[in-house]
Amino acid sequence: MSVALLITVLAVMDGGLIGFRASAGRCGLLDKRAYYRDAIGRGMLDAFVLVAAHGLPALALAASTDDVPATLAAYVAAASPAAFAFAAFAGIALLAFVLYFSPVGDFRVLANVVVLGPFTVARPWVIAAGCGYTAFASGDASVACLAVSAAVSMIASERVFARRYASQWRALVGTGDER
Amino acid sequence: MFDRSAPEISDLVVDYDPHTLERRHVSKSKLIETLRGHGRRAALRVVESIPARDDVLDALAVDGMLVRSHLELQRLHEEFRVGETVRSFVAPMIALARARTRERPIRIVDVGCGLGFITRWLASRGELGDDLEFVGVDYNRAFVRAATALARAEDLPCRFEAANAFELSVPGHVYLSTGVIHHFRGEDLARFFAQHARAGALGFVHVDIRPGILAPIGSYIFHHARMREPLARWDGFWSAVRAHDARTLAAASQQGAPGFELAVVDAHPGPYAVVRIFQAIVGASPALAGQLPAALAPLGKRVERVR
Repeated sequence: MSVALLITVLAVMDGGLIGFRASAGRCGLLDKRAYYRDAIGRGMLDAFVLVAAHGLPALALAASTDDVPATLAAYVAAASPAAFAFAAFAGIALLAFVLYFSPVGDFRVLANVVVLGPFTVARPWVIAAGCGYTAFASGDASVACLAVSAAVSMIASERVFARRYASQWRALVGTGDER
Repeated sequence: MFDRSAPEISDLVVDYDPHTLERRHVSKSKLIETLRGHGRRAALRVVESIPARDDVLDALAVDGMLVRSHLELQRLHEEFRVGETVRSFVAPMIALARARTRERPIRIVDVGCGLGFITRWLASRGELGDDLEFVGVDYNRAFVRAATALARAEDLPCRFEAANAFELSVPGHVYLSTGVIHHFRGEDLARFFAQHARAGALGFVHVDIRPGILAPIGSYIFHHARMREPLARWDGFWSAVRAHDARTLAAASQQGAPGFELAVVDAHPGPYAVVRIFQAIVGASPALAGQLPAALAPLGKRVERVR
Protein backbone atom coordinates (compact mmCIF):
# COMPACT_ATOMS: atom_id res chain seq x y z
CA MET A 1 0.00 0.00 0.00
CA SER A 2 2.92 2.30 0.59
CA VAL A 3 3.64 2.32 -3.15
CA ALA A 4 0.02 3.23 -3.89
CA LEU A 5 0.23 6.02 -1.33
CA LEU A 6 3.53 7.21 -2.78
CA ILE A 7 2.06 7.31 -6.29
CA THR A 8 -0.97 9.22 -5.00
CA VAL A 9 1.17 11.79 -3.19
CA LEU A 10 3.45 12.23 -6.22
CA ALA A 11 0.52 12.56 -8.62
CA VAL A 12 -1.23 15.13 -6.42
CA MET A 13 2.02 17.07 -6.08
CA ASP A 14 2.49 16.91 -9.84
CA GLY A 15 -1.09 18.08 -10.22
CA GLY A 16 -0.31 21.15 -8.14
CA LEU A 17 2.63 21.97 -10.37
CA ILE A 18 0.51 21.33 -13.46
CA GLY A 19 -2.04 23.78 -12.10
CA PHE A 20 0.69 26.34 -11.55
CA ARG A 21 2.18 25.92 -15.03
CA ALA A 22 -1.24 25.91 -16.69
CA SER A 23 -2.08 29.27 -15.13
CA ALA A 24 1.38 30.83 -15.47
CA GLY A 25 1.97 33.28 -18.28
CA ARG A 26 -1.75 34.07 -18.53
CA CYS A 27 -2.14 36.77 -15.89
CA GLY A 28 -0.38 40.10 -16.14
CA LEU A 29 -0.91 41.24 -12.56
CA LEU A 30 2.12 41.55 -10.31
CA ASP A 31 0.52 40.01 -7.23
CA LYS A 32 -0.65 36.58 -8.30
CA ARG A 33 -0.56 34.78 -4.96
CA ALA A 34 -4.31 34.12 -4.77
CA TYR A 35 -4.44 33.30 -8.47
CA TYR A 36 -1.67 30.72 -8.18
CA ARG A 37 -3.06 29.30 -4.94
CA ASP A 38 -6.35 28.67 -6.68
CA ALA A 39 -4.65 27.13 -9.74
CA ILE A 40 -2.45 24.84 -7.64
CA GLY A 41 -5.41 23.72 -5.53
CA ARG A 42 -7.48 22.93 -8.61
CA GLY A 43 -4.56 21.03 -10.15
CA MET A 44 -4.11 18.93 -7.02
CA LEU A 45 -7.79 18.12 -6.86
CA ASP A 46 -7.89 17.18 -10.53
CA ALA A 47 -4.83 14.96 -10.11
CA PHE A 48 -6.47 13.23 -7.16
CA VAL A 49 -9.53 12.52 -9.29
CA LEU A 50 -7.26 11.08 -11.99
CA VAL A 51 -5.53 8.85 -9.45
CA ALA A 52 -8.88 7.63 -8.19
CA ALA A 53 -10.07 7.06 -11.75
CA HIS A 54 -7.15 4.70 -12.31
CA GLY A 55 -6.74 3.27 -8.81
CA LEU A 56 -10.32 2.12 -8.37
CA PRO A 57 -10.40 0.08 -11.61
CA ALA A 58 -7.07 -1.45 -10.59
CA LEU A 59 -8.58 -2.48 -7.26
CA ALA A 60 -11.66 -3.82 -9.03
CA LEU A 61 -9.45 -5.84 -11.36
CA ALA A 62 -7.56 -7.27 -8.41
CA ALA A 63 -10.81 -8.06 -6.60
CA SER A 64 -12.03 -10.05 -9.58
CA THR A 65 -9.12 -12.49 -9.35
CA ASP A 66 -8.96 -15.68 -7.25
CA ASP A 67 -5.98 -14.58 -5.18
CA VAL A 68 -6.49 -10.90 -4.36
CA PRO A 69 -3.40 -10.42 -2.12
CA ALA A 70 -1.11 -12.05 -4.69
CA THR A 71 -2.54 -9.90 -7.50
CA LEU A 72 -2.12 -6.73 -5.50
CA ALA A 73 1.44 -7.73 -4.65
CA ALA A 74 2.12 -8.25 -8.36
CA TYR A 75 0.70 -4.79 -9.16
CA VAL A 76 2.86 -3.22 -6.48
CA ALA A 77 5.95 -5.04 -7.75
CA ALA A 78 5.26 -3.82 -11.28
CA ALA A 79 4.64 -0.22 -10.18
CA SER A 80 7.46 0.06 -7.64
CA PRO A 81 10.38 0.89 -9.98
CA ALA A 82 8.36 3.65 -11.65
CA ALA A 83 7.16 5.01 -8.32
CA PHE A 84 10.69 5.21 -6.96
CA ALA A 85 11.95 6.80 -10.18
CA PHE A 86 9.15 9.39 -9.97
CA ALA A 87 10.02 9.96 -6.30
CA ALA A 88 13.66 10.61 -7.15
CA PHE A 89 12.60 13.03 -9.90
CA ALA A 90 10.24 14.81 -7.52
CA GLY A 91 12.88 14.85 -4.80
CA ILE A 92 15.33 16.72 -7.00
CA ALA A 93 12.56 19.13 -8.01
CA LEU A 94 11.73 19.72 -4.33
CA LEU A 95 15.37 20.46 -3.56
CA ALA A 96 15.34 22.93 -6.41
CA PHE A 97 12.29 24.59 -4.85
CA VAL A 98 14.23 25.03 -1.62
CA LEU A 99 16.84 26.92 -3.66
CA TYR A 100 14.11 28.76 -5.57
CA PHE A 101 12.55 30.14 -2.41
CA SER A 102 15.84 30.98 -0.77
CA PRO A 103 16.54 34.68 -0.20
CA VAL A 104 19.55 34.60 -2.55
CA GLY A 105 18.38 35.77 -5.95
CA ASP A 106 21.09 33.98 -7.90
CA PHE A 107 20.07 30.66 -6.29
CA ARG A 108 16.53 31.18 -7.50
CA VAL A 109 17.71 31.60 -11.07
CA LEU A 110 20.10 28.67 -10.67
CA ALA A 111 17.24 26.41 -9.57
CA ASN A 112 15.35 27.46 -12.67
CA VAL A 113 18.18 27.04 -15.11
CA VAL A 114 19.59 23.78 -13.84
CA VAL A 115 16.51 21.92 -12.61
CA LEU A 116 13.04 23.41 -12.96
CA GLY A 117 13.20 24.42 -16.63
CA PRO A 118 14.86 21.23 -17.93
CA PHE A 119 12.67 19.06 -15.67
CA THR A 120 9.55 20.59 -17.18
CA VAL A 121 10.81 19.49 -20.59
CA ALA A 122 11.79 16.04 -19.28
CA ARG A 123 8.60 15.40 -17.27
CA PRO A 124 6.46 13.82 -20.06
CA TRP A 125 9.33 11.50 -20.99
CA VAL A 126 9.84 10.44 -17.38
CA ILE A 127 6.13 9.70 -16.96
CA ALA A 128 6.01 7.80 -20.26
CA ALA A 129 9.08 5.76 -19.36
CA GLY A 130 7.85 4.94 -15.85
CA CYS A 131 4.34 3.97 -16.86
CA GLY A 132 5.65 2.18 -19.94
CA TYR A 133 7.89 0.06 -17.76
CA THR A 134 5.00 -0.70 -15.41
CA ALA A 135 2.78 -1.69 -18.34
CA PHE A 136 5.49 -3.98 -19.66
CA ALA A 137 6.48 -5.43 -16.28
CA SER A 138 2.93 -6.17 -15.12
CA GLY A 139 2.42 -8.88 -17.75
CA ASP A 140 -1.29 -8.19 -17.50
CA ALA A 141 -3.12 -6.54 -20.38
CA SER A 142 -5.66 -4.78 -18.16
CA VAL A 143 -2.99 -3.34 -15.88
CA ALA A 144 -0.93 -2.34 -18.90
CA CYS A 145 -3.93 -0.46 -20.28
CA LEU A 146 -4.41 1.32 -16.94
CA ALA A 147 -0.70 2.27 -16.80
CA VAL A 148 -0.80 3.67 -20.33
CA SER A 149 -4.04 5.51 -19.57
CA ALA A 150 -2.49 6.99 -16.41
CA ALA A 151 0.51 8.21 -18.40
CA VAL A 152 -1.64 9.74 -21.12
CA SER A 153 -3.89 11.39 -18.52
CA MET A 154 -1.03 12.96 -16.59
CA ILE A 155 0.77 14.14 -19.73
CA ALA A 156 -2.36 15.48 -21.40
CA SER A 157 -3.79 17.03 -18.25
CA GLU A 158 -1.54 20.09 -18.49
CA ARG A 159 -2.98 21.03 -21.85
CA VAL A 160 -6.50 20.37 -20.64
CA PHE A 161 -6.02 22.40 -17.44
CA ALA A 162 -4.43 25.21 -19.45
CA ARG A 163 -7.71 25.72 -21.32
CA ARG A 164 -9.19 27.21 -18.17
CA TYR A 165 -6.82 30.13 -18.48
CA ALA A 166 -6.43 30.31 -22.23
CA SER A 167 -8.86 33.17 -22.81
CA GLN A 168 -7.79 35.51 -20.04
CA TRP A 169 -5.75 37.63 -22.45
CA ARG A 170 -8.99 38.76 -24.12
CA ALA A 171 -9.71 41.03 -21.16
CA LEU A 172 -6.55 42.98 -22.03
CA VAL A 173 -7.07 43.40 -25.76
CA GLY A 174 -9.37 46.07 -27.11
CA THR A 175 -12.08 45.84 -29.65
CA GLY A 176 -9.95 46.99 -32.53
CA ASP A 177 -10.24 50.75 -32.43
CA GLU A 178 -6.46 50.94 -32.12
CA ARG A 179 -6.12 49.71 -35.68
CA MET B 1 25.62 29.16 -37.65
CA PHE B 2 22.58 31.45 -37.37
CA ASP B 3 21.55 34.39 -39.52
CA ARG B 4 21.63 37.03 -36.77
CA SER B 5 20.49 39.78 -39.09
CA ALA B 6 17.16 38.12 -39.90
CA PRO B 7 14.22 39.84 -38.19
CA GLU B 8 11.97 38.44 -35.49
CA ILE B 9 8.30 37.90 -36.23
CA SER B 10 7.25 40.67 -33.84
CA ASP B 11 9.37 43.12 -35.83
CA LEU B 12 7.38 42.34 -38.96
CA VAL B 13 3.75 41.84 -37.98
CA VAL B 14 3.26 45.45 -36.92
CA ASP B 15 4.27 48.64 -38.67
CA TYR B 16 3.86 52.26 -37.63
CA ASP B 17 4.36 55.62 -39.24
CA PRO B 18 7.39 56.93 -37.33
CA HIS B 19 5.97 60.47 -37.20
CA THR B 20 2.25 60.04 -36.61
CA LEU B 21 2.51 56.58 -35.00
CA GLU B 22 -0.50 55.60 -37.07
CA ARG B 23 -0.63 51.89 -37.61
CA ARG B 24 0.07 50.81 -41.15
CA HIS B 25 -1.36 47.80 -42.91
CA VAL B 26 0.94 44.81 -43.07
CA SER B 27 0.77 42.69 -46.20
CA LYS B 28 0.67 39.01 -45.34
CA SER B 29 2.07 37.92 -48.69
CA LYS B 30 5.01 40.33 -48.46
CA LEU B 31 5.68 39.17 -44.92
CA ILE B 32 5.70 35.55 -46.03
CA GLU B 33 8.03 36.47 -48.88
CA THR B 34 10.42 38.18 -46.43
CA LEU B 35 10.51 35.21 -44.08
CA ARG B 36 10.91 32.79 -46.98
CA GLY B 37 13.87 34.89 -48.13
CA HIS B 38 15.50 34.34 -44.75
CA GLY B 39 14.67 30.62 -44.85
CA ARG B 40 12.65 30.74 -41.64
CA ARG B 41 10.11 27.99 -42.09
CA ALA B 42 8.89 27.81 -38.48
CA ALA B 43 8.29 31.56 -38.52
CA LEU B 44 6.43 31.14 -41.79
CA ARG B 45 4.01 28.74 -40.12
CA VAL B 46 3.35 31.28 -37.36
CA VAL B 47 2.63 34.05 -39.86
CA GLU B 48 0.52 31.80 -42.07
CA SER B 49 -1.75 31.15 -39.08
CA ILE B 50 -2.56 34.86 -38.66
CA PRO B 51 -5.91 35.75 -40.23
CA ALA B 52 -5.88 38.37 -42.97
CA ARG B 53 -8.43 40.19 -45.09
CA ASP B 54 -7.50 41.32 -48.60
CA ASP B 55 -3.90 40.34 -47.80
CA VAL B 56 -3.82 42.68 -44.76
CA LEU B 57 -3.02 41.07 -41.40
CA ASP B 58 -5.89 41.28 -38.93
CA ALA B 59 -4.64 43.88 -36.42
CA LEU B 60 -6.73 42.51 -33.57
CA ALA B 61 -5.41 38.98 -34.12
CA VAL B 62 -1.86 40.33 -34.21
CA ASP B 63 -2.42 42.28 -30.99
CA GLY B 64 -3.85 39.19 -29.33
CA MET B 65 -0.80 37.21 -30.34
CA LEU B 66 1.55 39.91 -29.07
CA VAL B 67 -0.28 40.33 -25.76
CA ARG B 68 -0.32 36.56 -25.17
CA SER B 69 3.39 36.44 -25.95
CA HIS B 70 4.15 39.28 -23.57
CA LEU B 71 2.12 37.68 -20.79
CA GLU B 72 4.33 34.63 -21.17
CA LEU B 73 7.40 36.83 -21.35
CA GLN B 74 6.36 38.46 -18.07
CA ARG B 75 6.19 35.02 -16.47
CA LEU B 76 9.74 34.31 -17.66
CA HIS B 77 10.91 37.70 -16.37
CA GLU B 78 9.34 36.96 -13.01
CA GLU B 79 11.13 33.62 -12.82
CA PHE B 80 14.44 35.17 -13.76
CA ARG B 81 14.02 38.11 -11.39
CA VAL B 82 14.41 40.65 -14.15
CA GLY B 83 12.65 43.31 -12.07
CA GLU B 84 15.29 43.00 -9.35
CA THR B 85 18.06 43.02 -11.96
CA VAL B 86 16.77 46.19 -13.63
CA ARG B 87 16.27 47.87 -10.27
CA SER B 88 19.87 47.18 -9.24
CA PHE B 89 21.11 48.72 -12.50
CA VAL B 90 18.78 51.72 -12.60
CA ALA B 91 19.00 52.73 -8.92
CA PRO B 92 22.49 54.27 -9.28
CA MET B 93 21.34 56.25 -12.31
CA ILE B 94 18.30 57.56 -10.42
CA ALA B 95 20.58 58.63 -7.57
CA LEU B 96 22.77 60.53 -10.03
CA ALA B 97 19.78 62.22 -11.64
CA ARG B 98 18.37 63.15 -8.24
CA ALA B 99 21.64 64.79 -7.26
CA ARG B 100 22.01 66.60 -10.58
CA THR B 101 18.58 68.20 -11.01
CA ARG B 102 16.12 69.94 -8.73
CA GLU B 103 13.25 68.98 -11.00
CA ARG B 104 10.77 66.67 -9.39
CA PRO B 105 9.56 64.11 -10.00
CA ILE B 106 12.51 62.33 -11.55
CA ARG B 107 10.96 60.79 -14.63
CA ILE B 108 11.92 57.23 -15.54
CA VAL B 109 10.88 56.34 -19.08
CA ASP B 110 10.64 52.67 -20.04
CA VAL B 111 11.20 52.50 -23.79
CA GLY B 112 9.26 49.78 -25.63
CA CYS B 113 7.55 48.80 -22.40
CA GLY B 114 5.17 46.21 -23.84
CA LEU B 115 2.76 45.26 -21.05
CA GLY B 116 4.78 47.48 -18.73
CA PHE B 117 5.93 44.72 -16.42
CA ILE B 118 9.19 46.46 -15.50
CA THR B 119 7.51 49.87 -15.17
CA ARG B 120 4.80 48.42 -12.96
CA TRP B 121 7.26 46.33 -10.97
CA LEU B 122 9.50 49.30 -10.23
CA ALA B 123 6.49 51.51 -9.43
CA SER B 124 5.09 48.91 -7.07
CA ARG B 125 8.22 49.01 -4.92
CA GLY B 126 8.88 52.05 -2.83
CA GLU B 127 12.62 51.45 -2.37
CA LEU B 128 13.68 53.74 -5.21
CA GLY B 129 12.04 56.77 -3.59
CA ASP B 130 8.73 58.60 -3.72
CA ASP B 131 9.98 61.44 -5.91
CA LEU B 132 9.85 59.33 -9.06
CA GLU B 133 7.45 59.16 -11.97
CA PHE B 134 7.38 55.96 -13.98
CA VAL B 135 6.26 56.23 -17.58
CA GLY B 136 6.03 53.26 -19.92
CA VAL B 137 6.08 54.06 -23.61
CA ASP B 138 5.31 51.86 -26.57
CA TYR B 139 4.24 52.39 -30.17
CA ASN B 140 1.61 49.71 -29.86
CA ARG B 141 -1.62 51.14 -28.44
CA ALA B 142 -2.85 47.67 -27.56
CA PHE B 143 0.11 47.25 -25.23
CA VAL B 144 -0.45 50.68 -23.74
CA ARG B 145 -4.10 49.96 -23.03
CA ALA B 146 -3.30 46.58 -21.51
CA ALA B 147 -0.49 48.00 -19.38
CA THR B 148 -2.75 50.82 -18.20
CA ALA B 149 -5.49 48.35 -17.28
CA LEU B 150 -3.03 46.17 -15.36
CA ALA B 151 -1.60 49.16 -13.50
CA ARG B 152 -5.09 50.37 -12.60
CA ALA B 153 -6.11 46.93 -11.38
CA GLU B 154 -3.35 47.07 -8.79
CA ASP B 155 -3.49 50.81 -8.20
CA LEU B 156 0.12 51.34 -9.22
CA PRO B 157 1.70 54.81 -9.47
CA CYS B 158 2.75 54.69 -13.13
CA ARG B 159 1.33 55.58 -16.50
CA PHE B 160 1.65 54.48 -20.09
CA GLU B 161 1.71 56.35 -23.38
CA ALA B 162 1.62 55.41 -27.03
CA ALA B 163 4.41 57.63 -28.26
CA ASN B 164 7.97 57.92 -29.40
CA ALA B 165 9.77 57.67 -26.05
CA PHE B 166 12.26 60.32 -27.09
CA GLU B 167 9.66 62.86 -28.18
CA LEU B 168 7.51 63.05 -25.06
CA SER B 169 5.96 66.42 -24.24
CA VAL B 170 7.68 66.17 -20.86
CA PRO B 171 10.93 64.29 -21.48
CA GLY B 172 12.44 61.71 -19.17
CA HIS B 173 15.45 62.09 -16.94
CA VAL B 174 16.42 58.44 -17.15
CA TYR B 175 15.59 56.09 -20.02
CA LEU B 176 15.54 52.36 -19.61
CA SER B 177 14.56 49.35 -21.63
CA THR B 178 14.48 45.61 -21.19
CA GLY B 179 14.91 43.19 -24.05
CA VAL B 180 14.50 45.93 -26.64
CA ILE B 181 17.89 46.92 -28.02
CA HIS B 182 18.57 43.73 -29.94
CA HIS B 183 15.70 44.76 -32.21
CA PHE B 184 17.89 47.62 -33.48
CA ARG B 185 20.64 46.63 -35.89
CA GLY B 186 23.52 48.50 -37.48
CA GLU B 187 22.97 52.22 -37.91
CA ASP B 188 19.56 51.97 -36.24
CA LEU B 189 21.30 51.00 -33.01
CA ALA B 190 23.53 54.07 -33.09
CA ARG B 191 20.49 56.21 -33.94
CA PHE B 192 18.69 54.73 -30.93
CA PHE B 193 21.46 55.92 -28.62
CA ALA B 194 21.65 59.29 -30.39
CA GLN B 195 18.07 60.00 -29.37
CA HIS B 196 19.02 60.09 -25.68
CA ALA B 197 21.20 63.13 -26.17
CA ARG B 198 18.53 64.85 -28.26
CA ALA B 199 15.87 64.15 -25.62
CA GLY B 200 18.04 65.68 -22.90
CA ALA B 201 18.37 62.45 -20.93
CA LEU B 202 20.61 62.49 -17.90
CA GLY B 203 21.22 58.81 -18.27
CA PHE B 204 20.13 55.49 -19.69
CA VAL B 205 20.08 51.87 -18.67
CA HIS B 206 19.35 49.35 -21.40
CA VAL B 207 19.12 45.75 -20.29
CA ASP B 208 19.11 42.83 -22.69
CA ILE B 209 20.00 39.19 -22.81
CA ARG B 210 23.74 38.57 -22.98
CA PRO B 211 24.85 36.61 -26.05
CA GLY B 212 27.04 33.55 -25.73
CA ILE B 213 27.35 29.91 -26.63
CA LEU B 214 24.88 28.82 -23.96
CA ALA B 215 22.35 31.61 -24.48
CA PRO B 216 20.55 30.10 -27.51
CA ILE B 217 20.45 26.63 -25.89
CA GLY B 218 19.12 27.92 -22.60
CA SER B 219 16.71 30.19 -24.39
CA TYR B 220 15.41 27.31 -26.50
CA ILE B 221 14.83 25.12 -23.43
CA PHE B 222 13.07 27.85 -21.48
CA HIS B 223 10.93 29.16 -24.27
CA HIS B 224 9.76 25.62 -24.99
CA ALA B 225 9.31 24.72 -21.35
CA ARG B 226 7.49 27.88 -20.37
CA MET B 227 5.77 29.29 -23.41
CA ARG B 228 2.86 28.09 -25.49
CA GLU B 229 2.53 30.89 -28.01
CA PRO B 230 4.46 29.98 -31.18
CA LEU B 231 5.48 33.60 -31.74
CA ALA B 232 6.85 33.83 -28.18
CA ARG B 233 8.81 30.61 -28.58
CA TRP B 234 10.26 31.67 -31.90
CA ASP B 235 11.13 35.26 -31.06
CA GLY B 236 12.35 34.33 -27.60
CA PHE B 237 14.89 31.93 -29.01
CA TRP B 238 16.00 34.33 -31.73
CA SER B 239 16.33 37.17 -29.23
CA ALA B 240 19.14 35.21 -27.61
CA VAL B 241 20.75 34.60 -30.97
CA ARG B 242 20.42 38.21 -32.08
CA ALA B 243 21.49 39.82 -28.79
CA HIS B 244 24.33 42.30 -29.17
CA ASP B 245 27.62 41.72 -27.43
CA ALA B 246 28.95 44.41 -25.11
CA ARG B 247 31.47 45.64 -27.67
CA THR B 248 28.75 46.28 -30.26
CA LEU B 249 26.61 48.11 -27.72
CA ALA B 250 29.53 50.20 -26.54
CA ALA B 251 30.55 51.11 -30.09
CA ALA B 252 26.99 52.07 -31.04
CA SER B 253 26.61 54.13 -27.85
CA GLN B 254 29.87 55.95 -28.48
CA GLN B 255 28.82 56.65 -32.04
CA GLY B 256 25.27 57.72 -31.20
CA ALA B 257 25.80 59.45 -27.86
CA PRO B 258 29.46 60.47 -27.98
CA GLY B 259 29.36 62.73 -24.93
CA PHE B 260 27.96 60.09 -22.60
CA GLU B 261 30.12 58.28 -20.09
CA LEU B 262 29.48 54.56 -20.54
CA ALA B 263 29.74 51.31 -18.66
CA VAL B 264 28.55 47.76 -19.20
CA VAL B 265 27.28 45.56 -16.39
CA ASP B 266 27.45 41.75 -16.33
CA ALA B 267 29.01 41.58 -19.79
CA HIS B 268 31.59 39.11 -18.46
CA PRO B 269 30.11 37.52 -15.33
CA GLY B 270 32.54 34.57 -15.26
CA PRO B 271 31.16 31.71 -13.16
CA TYR B 272 27.92 33.63 -12.66
CA ALA B 273 27.12 33.38 -16.37
CA VAL B 274 24.54 30.67 -15.75
CA VAL B 275 22.48 32.81 -13.37
CA ARG B 276 23.14 36.31 -14.68
CA ILE B 277 21.76 36.00 -18.16
CA PHE B 278 21.25 39.72 -18.75
CA GLN B 279 23.72 42.49 -19.33
CA ALA B 280 23.23 46.23 -19.41
CA ILE B 281 24.73 49.23 -21.09
CA VAL B 282 24.59 52.24 -18.83
CA GLY B 283 25.24 55.80 -19.92
CA ALA B 284 25.54 59.08 -18.05
CA SER B 285 25.18 62.41 -19.84
CA PRO B 286 28.01 64.96 -19.96
CA ALA B 287 26.18 66.82 -17.18
CA LEU B 288 27.14 63.95 -14.88
CA ALA B 289 30.75 63.83 -16.03
CA GLY B 290 32.96 61.57 -13.96
CA GLN B 291 30.24 60.47 -11.56
CA LEU B 292 29.24 57.17 -13.14
CA PRO B 293 32.01 54.95 -11.71
CA ALA B 294 31.24 55.95 -8.14
CA ALA B 295 27.52 55.54 -8.70
CA LEU B 296 27.98 52.02 -10.03
CA ALA B 297 30.52 51.07 -7.37
CA PRO B 298 27.97 49.02 -5.35
CA LEU B 299 27.79 46.62 -8.31
CA GLY B 300 31.50 45.92 -7.85
CA LYS B 301 33.31 43.87 -10.47
CA ARG B 302 30.15 43.42 -12.48
CA VAL B 303 30.82 46.84 -13.97
CA GLU B 304 33.27 47.54 -16.79
CA ARG B 305 33.91 51.09 -17.91
CA VAL B 306 33.77 51.76 -21.64
CA ARG B 307 36.61 53.96 -22.78
